[in-house]
Amino acid sequence: MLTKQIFRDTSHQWFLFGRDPERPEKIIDTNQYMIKTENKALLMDPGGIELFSSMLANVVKQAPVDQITHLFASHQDPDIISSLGLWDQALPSAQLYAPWLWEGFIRHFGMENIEYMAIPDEGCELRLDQVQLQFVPAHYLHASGNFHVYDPQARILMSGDIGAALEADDAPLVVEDFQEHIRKMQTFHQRWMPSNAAKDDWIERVSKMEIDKMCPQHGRIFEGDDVKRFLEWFSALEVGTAISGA
Amino acid sequence: MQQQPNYFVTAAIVAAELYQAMVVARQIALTASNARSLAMRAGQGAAGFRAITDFIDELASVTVTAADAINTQAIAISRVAADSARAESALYRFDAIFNKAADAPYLTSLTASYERTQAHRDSLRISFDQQVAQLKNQLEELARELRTASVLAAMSRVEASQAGVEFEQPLNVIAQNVADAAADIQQRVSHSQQMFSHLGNAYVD
Repeated sequence: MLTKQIFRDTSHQWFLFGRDPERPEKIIDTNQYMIKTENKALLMDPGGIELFSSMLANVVKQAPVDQITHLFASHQDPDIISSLGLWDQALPSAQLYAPWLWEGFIRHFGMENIEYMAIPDEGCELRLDQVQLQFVPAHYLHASGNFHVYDPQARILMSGDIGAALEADDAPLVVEDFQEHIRKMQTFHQRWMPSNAAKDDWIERVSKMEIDKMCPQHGRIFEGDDVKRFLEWFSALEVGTAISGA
Repeated sequence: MQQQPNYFVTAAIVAAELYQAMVVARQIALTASNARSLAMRAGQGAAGFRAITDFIDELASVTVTAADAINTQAIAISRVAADSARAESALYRFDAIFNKAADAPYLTSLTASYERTQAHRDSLRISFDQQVAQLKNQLEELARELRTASVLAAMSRVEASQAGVEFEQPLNVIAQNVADAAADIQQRVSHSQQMFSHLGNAYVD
């Protein structure tokens, strides 16, 4: 599994873990993210059971296990958080921030030790040492209870399935040609995202944020002007297409 | 990944067998009730049969209680075995991490989690072995109780033959029902005993 530091300042670092070559066939590639501060760390969308060994093996290259104090699950999908039962053995004192709506479902993955911190629909904030993070509502994009993580200091938005693209294992980590990248994400967004109203609401709020990097859970990171390009493209895209012919 | 025996599946199958045994035992209780009414109508000729219905009733009641307890115990064992398999799975993955990340600067920070999970798995194994031993005893006791069923069925047939032409045939049917139901339960208990015969101290290395 590849590890890349995507941000660093005096107070914290962001890491991306992904492109796991040991991933079993037919399992979708996922990006996992970690914010590490002086004494704490937050793992975002830590991934499925099949990735757990590779993921933790990479994490302990960057931080001791007892520094992983927080987990975040943007929603309930297995590629997001089905490894929870294993993290529960590894990090018994950690807290999991996840949508309140999914608590009864996510606990099915096995959670005896980790504490579930239910994020209310309007979102909430989390402080890790000197770093203040925001859990930004992204409901119906695609899950009915869904959040993204915004770090105003690093100007990074971890955007879950928004901006996701399906592509080859050896694909670069950053979008290089936005126009070319559209074909890798168009069907994904049209089919997975159910609501144009939810999409428009999210775009309106996110457009007001200062974002240098938008980091999806699949595919590549959008940097600089590509963030704005993405928002414009997404704004014009009709989603929920599975019922458009009905 | 190394194949772990599916002890939780075995325990779940035994739980299902004992649940079915309980259903059949309830049928015996119903049969005993029918037998009592029939024997009353048959009058003095079926007095012996009437006395036997009390024993049939008792057998049904003991079987229902025992089967219920064993069913509950087997479900508890299945849960412990599943928890143990999960802990085992976590240890397997931790082992992989120790191999994959041998040069990771913070690898030793995982040792505490590993040892804690190992201790948890060990305590589950001990609990599993204790509960399996208890369940084996319960099965053995139930099997012993069920041996009286064939005696009751034989005695019922003898008493049915004394009940007169009108009642002999229906009382024989009742005797046969008791024998069939008891045989069914015995088979389920025996199957459960077979399935559990290789368990208990199964985890001792």
